[in-house]
Formats: sequence, C-alpha cells, structure tokens
Amino acid sequence: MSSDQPLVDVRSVRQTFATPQGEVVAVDDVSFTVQSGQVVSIVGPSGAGKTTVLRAIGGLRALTGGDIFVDGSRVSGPPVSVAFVFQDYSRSLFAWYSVLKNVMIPLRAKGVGKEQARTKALAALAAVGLAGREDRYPRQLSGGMQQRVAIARALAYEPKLLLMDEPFASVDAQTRMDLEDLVLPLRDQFNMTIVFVTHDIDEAVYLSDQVVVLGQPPARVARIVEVPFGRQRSQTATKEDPRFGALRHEILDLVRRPGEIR
Amino acid sequence: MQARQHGRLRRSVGHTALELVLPVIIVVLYQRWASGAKDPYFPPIPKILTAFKDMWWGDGFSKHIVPSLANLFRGYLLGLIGGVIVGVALWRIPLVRRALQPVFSFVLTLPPVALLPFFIVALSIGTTLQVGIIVYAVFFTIAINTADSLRAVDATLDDISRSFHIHGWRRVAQVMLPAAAPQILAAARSSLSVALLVMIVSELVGASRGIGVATFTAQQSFRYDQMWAGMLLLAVLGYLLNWVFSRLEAPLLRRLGVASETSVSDQ
Repeated sequence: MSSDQPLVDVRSVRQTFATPQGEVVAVDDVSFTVQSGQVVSIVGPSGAGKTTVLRAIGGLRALTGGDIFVDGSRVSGPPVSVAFVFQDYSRSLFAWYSVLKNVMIPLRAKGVGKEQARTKALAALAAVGLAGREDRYPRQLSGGMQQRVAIARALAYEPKLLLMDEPFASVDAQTRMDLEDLVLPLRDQFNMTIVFVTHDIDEAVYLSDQVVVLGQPPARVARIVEVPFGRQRSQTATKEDPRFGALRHEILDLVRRPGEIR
Repeated sequence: MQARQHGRLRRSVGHTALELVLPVIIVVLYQRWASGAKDPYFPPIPKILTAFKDMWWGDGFSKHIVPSLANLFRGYLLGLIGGVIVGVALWRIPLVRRALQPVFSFVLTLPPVALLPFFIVALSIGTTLQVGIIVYAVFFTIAINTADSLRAVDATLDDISRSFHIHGWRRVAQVMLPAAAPQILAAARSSLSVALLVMIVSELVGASRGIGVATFTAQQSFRYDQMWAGMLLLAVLGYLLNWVFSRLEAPLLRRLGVASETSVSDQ
C-alpha cells in the first residue's frame, strides 16, 4: 500500500431509510477522504446524516449506494482495523463487568491471550488516566471517567481508525475540555487516525486537521475545511488564534445558512 | 451518622410493625371467633399449631416436605435452565423463532393445571409427572421471556458487539444475557410461585407422599386441623421461597449494575 493512499475513502455514499411515509434520503452523494494520521471531524445541521456516515464507515450499516474503502479494502461489515466510541457511555459500557474486563473483552474476542489482553488493557487505561481504577465498576465512576473507559476499550483494540460518535456530548463543559485534550496526544501514542462526529463547531475546529461540513438534508458535502494549526493545540492559545474565529465563522455559516451554498 | 442510623432503624422497625398490623388483626379476630363458634371446619389456632407440629416435624418432614421440595427444585431448575437455553435459540436463530414462537405463545395461554389429565396420560402417575408438570409450567414462560428481553436489549450493545467482533458464546454470555438478566429474573420470580402452585395441584392426583397429598388427605378424612396446618405450611413455604429468591436476586442485580448503588463522583 502506498503511503499516499487515503486510509478512508468515502465515494458517493448514498443512504436512504424506509419510513411509513416512504423513502427518506438521509445522505445523498457524500464523498471525502481521510489521510492516515489525521483527525477529521464531520459536522452539519441536525439530521444531516453525520452519524449515518460514521456508522457506514464503521460497517454498521449497509450502504444504499456508493462505496467506502478503509485501509484499502471495501467495507462490507465492521472492519477489524476500526474501533468505535459511542456517545452514551451508560449504554455502551458493560455495567456488569469491572473497568478492566470492559476493556479486555473485545481483545479476548479477537483471540488475544488472557495475560496479554490484561497487559494491553492496563496500558490503555493508564493512557486515559484511569490507572488504579481497573477494579471499579462503571457505575462507580463519574460520567467523564466512564467515557474514558470507552475510549480505553477502543485504544486497547489497537485500531488504525478510531471512530467516535459525539464522544463528548454527554459530559459537562469542563470534563469535555479534559477529554478533548486527552484524545489528541493519543493519536500519536497509539498511531491512529480519528474520524469523529460532533455538533460543536468549536470542538471540530479545535481537534481536527480537516472538517467535513455536510449541508442540509439530504446531505452532501458542503465544503471540506482544512485546519492549519498543526499537531499542538491548546484550549487557550488555539482558541484565541484569529484564524480559529475565522474558521469557526466559515463553518457556522455553512451549517446555519445552507440555502446559499446549494 | 449515629443518629441517622438510628432513624433508619426506627423507620424500618416502624415499617415492619405496620406490615404486621393487618395479619395480626386477622389472626386475633379469627381466634376470637373460632374459639366461640366451635365450628369443626374452622378449628381454633392452638389446635392448628399443634396439628402443624405433629404433621410436619420429624416423620412428616422427611415423608412429605422433602419429596415435595425435591420435585419443586428439580422441576424449577430444569425449566429455568431449559427455558433460558431455548429462549436464546428463539432470539438467535430466526428459523427456530419462526417455527416455535407461535406454538410457544399458544402453549403459554394454557394453564398447566388444566393440562393435568394430559400429563397423567403422557407421563403416567409418579415423580416424573410431578416434576414434568413443574418443568412445563416454568419452561415456556422463561423461554418466551428470555427471547423477548434479549430482543429488547439496547441497540448500542449490538453495535458494540458487531464493531468489536464479539460473536458467538461471548456475545450471548458476556453481553446479551447479563443485559437481559433483570427481565429474565423477574420472569423467574413469578414462575417460582406458579411452580409452587403446580406442585401442590399435581400431588392431588396419584402421589403418595407430599405436602399436597397430606393436606388433601386430611381434608378428605375430616381432619380439618391438619388441613389448616397444611395450608399454613404452604403459606410459610411461599413466603420463604420468595424471601430466598430475593436474597439471591438482590446481589445479582447489583452486580449487573441495575440496582441503585451510591454512585461515586471523583472527578
């Protein structure tokens, strides 16, 4: 595989849903690529099919039309090189298992031996700042810490591509910043590419190398915005950069006044 | 802290006392009326208690209580385990579901007691009958409820299983069954009282030993004190079984993360 081949290649993806009122087009012709090592966010107005696109990349939904390639092969089911973090930790964690076991189970299912799975799980938990809490149960942790468990579970899986569906939407603002700053360095530490969905434009600009802006439903790509801040970001300096405000402005205009761009 | 614990203790004692008010009133009224009425059908309470002791202590215990409870537990456990296994199959294998679900739903509407004649013919009189009809009473309820609750498990867990490639027994045992367990336990609890009922009724035909047999025989031979002692035993058993069940259920539910536990926030 040549290095300039994108890790994710979304080509003319179309997704329709059957409803009692008839067929609804959720996503209509979406195309974009993600290079290896990038952090890419998908934003758009409510109901624009952001999550639908993410789930399609993760192989959780069959496409109505188009193709998606991850790591060179066509997605027809969940690819092994992909791990998922869902929005709602209270529903995605196994409440009946300890934090450690939550992280170990996907590894064991993958065929990793018990001792090795344990070592990897402990390393992933340490990476998200949960060292020493491996014997707790999810309900004994705060919301932010539970989402860290979900992130650790994905990290331990050693994916090439980490998909996150509104990963910080269920926690308070302070915790949200902590989690944002947690995730960025993990990309290098675990050698991952990250694609995530958010409805928070600031978060999208702050975290991403590239923002894929979807237009009003049925969604098409309204614009792909490059974010020029490099790898080091800071909640204060980055967000005070005049270019941050400009990008934010540009994307907000696209999301909120889609009539002009179509 | 101390004061709060005292308060809680006092409240729980108060609750228990409140729960006892009605039963005590009923017992007292019954005793007053029965000792005056001298009605042979309604013996006074001391007489019932004496009969209770004579009937169920010593010999009576091994002759009647042990076989009844042995049948109950054998039938209940078989029905429970079989029901969960078949319930998983109903949920997991569409072919099985299409083939069995309508029949199961139909069978579920038939009260096991009404099918007693059929069981007598099919299993002939004896322990097999006693156990068999309890299995029947428990199995279908558990199977249908297991399948239903597995189907109702949050779709997010399904996404997790699929994206992390958790398949086969791991998905069933480590993800789906724990998530569905609270509903399955609820069904198991209600089947327990049905099992007790069916145990008694099934003993009315053809069994030679058992709580139901002893009670029914007492009634037929005009020993109304013993008949009442039998019913008292059933009440006590029902209460005890329910108590044991909730003692086992509570820690399990806590483990599954269902029962409320003081959540710790340390961030």
